[in-house]
Amino acid sequence: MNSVLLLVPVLLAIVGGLASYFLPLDNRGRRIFIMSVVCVTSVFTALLLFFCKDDTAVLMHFTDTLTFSLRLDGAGRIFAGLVAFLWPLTTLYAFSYMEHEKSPAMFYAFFTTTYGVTLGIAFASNMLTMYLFYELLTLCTIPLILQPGTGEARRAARMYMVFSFGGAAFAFIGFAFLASLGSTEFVLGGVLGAYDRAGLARLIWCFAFVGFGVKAAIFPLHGWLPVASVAPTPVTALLHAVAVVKAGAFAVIRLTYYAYGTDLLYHSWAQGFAMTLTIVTIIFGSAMALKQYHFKRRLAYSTVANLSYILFAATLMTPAGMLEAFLHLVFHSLIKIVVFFAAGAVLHRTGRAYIDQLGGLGARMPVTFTCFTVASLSLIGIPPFNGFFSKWAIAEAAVETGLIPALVGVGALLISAFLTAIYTMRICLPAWLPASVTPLSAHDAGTLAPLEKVREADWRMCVPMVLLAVLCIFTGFFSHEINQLFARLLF
Amino acid sequence: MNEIIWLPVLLPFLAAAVAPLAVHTRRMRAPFLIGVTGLELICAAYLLLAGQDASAQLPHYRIALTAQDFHGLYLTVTAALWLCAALMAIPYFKEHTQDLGSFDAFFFLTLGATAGVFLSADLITLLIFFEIMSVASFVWVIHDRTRRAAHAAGVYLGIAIFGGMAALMGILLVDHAAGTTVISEIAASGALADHRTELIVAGFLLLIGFGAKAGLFPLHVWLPLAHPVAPAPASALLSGILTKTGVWGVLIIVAQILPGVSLFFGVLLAAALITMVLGAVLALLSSDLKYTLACSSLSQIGFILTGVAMLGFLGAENSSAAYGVIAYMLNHSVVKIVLFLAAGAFFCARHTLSLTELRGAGKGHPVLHVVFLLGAASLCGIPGTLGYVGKTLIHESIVEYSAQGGAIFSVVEWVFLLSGGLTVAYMTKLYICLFWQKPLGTVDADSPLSAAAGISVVVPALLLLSGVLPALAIEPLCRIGLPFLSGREFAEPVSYFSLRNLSGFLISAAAGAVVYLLVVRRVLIHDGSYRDADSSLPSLTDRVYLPLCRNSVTALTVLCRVPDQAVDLCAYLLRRYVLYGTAPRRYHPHKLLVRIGEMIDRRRKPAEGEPAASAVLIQWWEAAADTTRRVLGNFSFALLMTCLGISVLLIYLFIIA
Repeated sequence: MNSVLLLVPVLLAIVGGLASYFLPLDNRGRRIFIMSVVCVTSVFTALLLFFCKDDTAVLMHFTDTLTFSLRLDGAGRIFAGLVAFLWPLTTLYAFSYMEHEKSPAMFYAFFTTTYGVTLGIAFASNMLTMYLFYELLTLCTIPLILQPGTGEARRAARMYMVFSFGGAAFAFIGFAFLASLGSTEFVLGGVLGAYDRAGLARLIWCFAFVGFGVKAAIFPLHGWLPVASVAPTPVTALLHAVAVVKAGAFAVIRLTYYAYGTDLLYHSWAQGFAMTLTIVTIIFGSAMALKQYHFKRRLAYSTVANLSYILFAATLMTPAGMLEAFLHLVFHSLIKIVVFFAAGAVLHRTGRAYIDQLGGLGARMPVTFTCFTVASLSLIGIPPFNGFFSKWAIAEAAVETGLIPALVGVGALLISAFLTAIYTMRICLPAWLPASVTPLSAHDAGTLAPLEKVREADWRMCVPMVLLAVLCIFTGFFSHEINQLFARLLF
Repeated sequence: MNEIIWLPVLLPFLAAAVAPLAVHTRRMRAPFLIGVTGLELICAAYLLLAGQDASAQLPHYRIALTAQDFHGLYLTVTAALWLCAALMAIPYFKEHTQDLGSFDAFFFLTLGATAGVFLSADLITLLIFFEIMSVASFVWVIHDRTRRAAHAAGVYLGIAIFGGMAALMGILLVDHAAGTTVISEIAASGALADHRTELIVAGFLLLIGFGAKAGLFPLHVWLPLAHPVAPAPASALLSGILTKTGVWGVLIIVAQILPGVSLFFGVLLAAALITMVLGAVLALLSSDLKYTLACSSLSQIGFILTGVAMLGFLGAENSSAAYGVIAYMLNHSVVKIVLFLAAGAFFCARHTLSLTELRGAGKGHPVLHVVFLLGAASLCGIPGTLGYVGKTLIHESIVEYSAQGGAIFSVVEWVFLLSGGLTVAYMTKLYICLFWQKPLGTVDADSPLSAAAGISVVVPALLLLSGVLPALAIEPLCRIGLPFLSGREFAEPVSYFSLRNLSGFLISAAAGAVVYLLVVRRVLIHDGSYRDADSSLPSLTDRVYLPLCRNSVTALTVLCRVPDQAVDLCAYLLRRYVLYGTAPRRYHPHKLLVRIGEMIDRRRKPAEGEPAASAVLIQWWEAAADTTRRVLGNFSFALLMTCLGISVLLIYLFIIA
C-alpha cells in the first residue's frame, strides 16, 4: 500500500465529522453516520498498519525544505493503532452518555474531527506536519470543552486555549531552530548529529520540551487539565486521557529521539532539567490528587502524574527508555479510559460527582465498580495487571542508566504508587462497603436520587468498560510479548 | 514431570473463578472446598516426597518456581493447614451466608498466591505473588463490612502496599548489584564484596517490606487490628501462614543477600525483641479471645525473628538456630490453626469473643478441651511438644552466641525467657477462663463440634505431640529445609531433655505463674469479669501512624498547592499587566488627594466660598488623566511613536553599528 493512502483516514474522519454537522440528520441518523465514519476510519487505519510501506509521501511543498508529508514508521504505528482501537469504543460510550445533553451535533462533529487530526499527528513524518496537526488538535478540542455551555466551561476552554497556544509558541522555537539547520524530518537517532553549538541546541530543546510538555501536562503547565474535567466524560476520557495528552507525550518523544537525537542530550544539563521536571510532576500530580474531592478532577491529577511516568521514561534518553515510554503510553491509556468511563457512568446514572457521595454504590452498579477496581489496582501497580509490568519496566530502564536523578525518579515512582493506592482505594472502599458506613451528608441526601433508584449503566457504557478492563488483565499477562513487538516495530 | 509444579498455583486460581457458582448450589460448597484443598495437599505432598527436582520458568517474566527443600516442605504445611481451615469454614458460615461467594473465591485466590510465594525461586516471582496475596487476603479482613473491619482493612492494605513498594525498590537494587534475582544465586554472585552499601540499603528496604507482612515492630500495627476482625478460618490462616511469608522474606535476606552483616542482624534482633515483648504484654492485657491470639502471634513472630537474627549472627555454626527456626515456624503455624479454629468453634456456639462472656464455655467439651490444652502447651513450650523443641533450640543458639557476642546477649537470653513466661501467663489465663471458670449465667447445652470442625482441630493438635521424640520426628523434617537457610547439620546429637534445657523451660514457667497469679488474678479480674486494659494503652496506629499519614498528606498537598496557585497567579498577572487582558484600571488616588487637600487647607485657611483644596486637586488630576488618555489612545500618537522607533533603529544601524 502506498503511503499516500495515509491521507485517507485523516481526511475521512475530518471531512466526515464536519459533514455530519451540516447534513440534515435526526439524532439516530447522526449516530449511525458518525459510528460508520469512525469504524471505517479505524478499519482503514488497521489495514494501513499492517500493509503500508514505510516510506514518505510528500503531499505538498511549502518551500524546498519544508514539506507537508506523511509516513507510517514504528512509533506512528503504535500510536495510531492505540487511537484507532479506542475511538469506536468511546464513540459507543458517548452515544449513551450524550443522550440528555444539548447540541450533540456539534459535539459529534468535532469529536470525529479530532480523531482525524490525532491520526494526522501519528502519521506526520516531519516536524512541520506534526506541528500543523498539533495546532489543529487544540482548535478541534476547544468546542468539545465548551459543550456544557456553562461559565465554568467557558473559563476552562479559555485556560486550555491560552496554555496550548503558549506551549505551541515555545514548540515553534524548537521547530524553527531545526528548520534553520536544514531538515525537519523524523529520523530515529535525530538529525542534529555532531552539531557544534551544543549548548544552544540543548537550550532550544528545553524550550520545545516545555512547549510540547504543556499538552503533556508537566508541572507548572498542567493547570488546564484538571480544569478541563468540566467537559463531558467521553471528552475527558478519550481526549484528556488518551488523545490530547498522549499526543503531547508522543510529540515529546518525537522531539527527543527522532528530531534532536539523544546523542546531543544524554548526560547533559538539559536531560537533568527535563528529568527533574518530570519527577516533580509525578509527585505533584499524585499529591494533588489526594485532596481532590471531585471525582473527575482527582482522576485528572492522576493523569498528570502518570503522563510524567511516560515523560520520565522518555527523558532517560536510552532505547530502553523510549521502548518503556511507549509501553506505558499504551497501558496507561487502557487503564485511564476504564477509570474515566466508570466515573462517567456514575455521574450519568446518579449525578454524583464527589467521592464522598459514592458510599454503597458498588452493590448497585457492580459492573462499573468492578471495572474501576481492576483499573485502580492496575494503576497502583499490583501484579498481574498491566500497570505493574509497565512501571517495573520503566524502573528497570532507569536503574540501568545508573544516573542519580534516574534513581530518584524510581523512588518517586514508588512513592507515587503508594499515594495512588491511597487516592484510588479512598474511592473503591466506600463504594463496596454498605452505604451506612459512609452516609451522605444531609444536603446531599436531600438533593441526590436515593440509592435504591440507582441502576447499572446500560450496555453501551458497560461493553467498552468491561472489554477494556479485560484487556488490562490480558495485556498484563502478555506484557513481555507486547514489549518485544514494540521493540521490533521501533528499532 | 516438571509441569506439575504449576498445579499448586494455578488450581486455586481456577477454583476461585468457579467458587461463586459452587456457593450458589449449597450442597456443592462443602465438597468443592474440601476437594480443591485436598487436591492441593496431595499435589504438595507429591512435590515434597517425589518431585524435589521439579521446576518451572518463564524467563522473560522472571517467573521461576522450584519445589526444592524448604519450598516443598512449607507448601505442604500451607496446603494441609488450608484444608483444616476449609473444614472449619463449612460449619462456621452456616448462619452468616452473605458474601460467601467472595469469601470462597478469595480463599482460593490467597491459597494460589501463597503457594506461589513459597514455590518462588526468584525474587520477582516472590514479589508478584506476595502482592497478589496481600490484595486477596484484604478481602478476608473486610469480610464483615463493618466500620471496624473497614478501618482494619484500610490499615492492612496501606501497610501492605507501603511494604510492597519498599520491597520492590529493594529488589531493583539487588538486581542492579548482583545482576540476578534468582534466590539461590544471589549469595554466590559475590555482590556483597563489590556493592556492599547498595546491598545493605536493599536489605533494609526488603526488611521493611517483608517485616511489615510478618508483623515486625514498628510496622506491626495492622496485625492486632486485622486478625480479630476476619472470620475465624481466615484469621487462622492469616496468623499461621501469611505471617510466615514475611518471615520467609527475612530468611532470604539473612541467608542470601546479607550473610555476615552484623549491623543488619543487630537491627533485626532489636526489632524482634521489642515485637516479642510488646505482643506478649498486649496479649496479657486483652480481654478479647481473638485479640489475645492475634497479639500472641505478634509475640511468636518476635520469637521466630529472634531465631532468624541468631541464625545470621552464628554464621557457619548456625545449626541450632536453623533447626530452631524451622521447628518454631512449623509449630506456630499448627498451633495458631488449632487455637483460632477452636476460637471459631466458641464463636459459633456463643456468638461472642469477650472473655468475660466466654467463661466456662469449654466445659463439657472434652475434645475441644484436649485440643486447646495441646495447642496452649505447645505455644508455651512444655516439654514433649513441638513448641518446646523450637524454643529450646533458639534458646540454645542465643546461649551459644553469648560467648562471642558479649554481655548483651545474656540480656537477650533473659528477655527471651521472660517473654516465654508472659506467654505461659496469658495462655494460662485463656485456658482457665475457657475451661475451668464458672459460667456467667445458665447456659443451654451447646451443640457438640461437628465432625468436620473436629477433624480440623484434632489432627493438627496431635501433630504437636511429635515433640516427645524430637530426634526421630522433628529433626528429619527440619533437615529438609536447611539448604534454604544456609543451615548446617548438628555436629553432635542434641539432648533435648537435658537439665540445662529443661531449666530454661522451668524459669519461663515459674515467671509465667508469678505473672498470672499477681497480675492477672489480682489486677485484671475484677468481680469475675475480665478487664480490658488494652484500650488504656496508647495505640501506635492512632497516635503516630494515622496522624503522620494525615499530616504528611496535608503538608504535601499544601506544598504542591502553592506552586499550583503560583502558576495561576503568574498567568493572571501576565494577563493584567503585560497583555492588558482586562481594561486597565484607572488609577484613582482620590483618597490621597483628599488628604493632601486637607493638609493644605489647614495651612491656607480658606475663606468662605472658595473651593476646598482637595476638590481643586481632584479636578486637576481628572483633567490630566483625561488628556493623557486621549493622547495615548490616539492613533497619531501611535504613529508618532512608530516613527520615533524607526528613527532610533536607523540611527543605530547606520551610525553606531
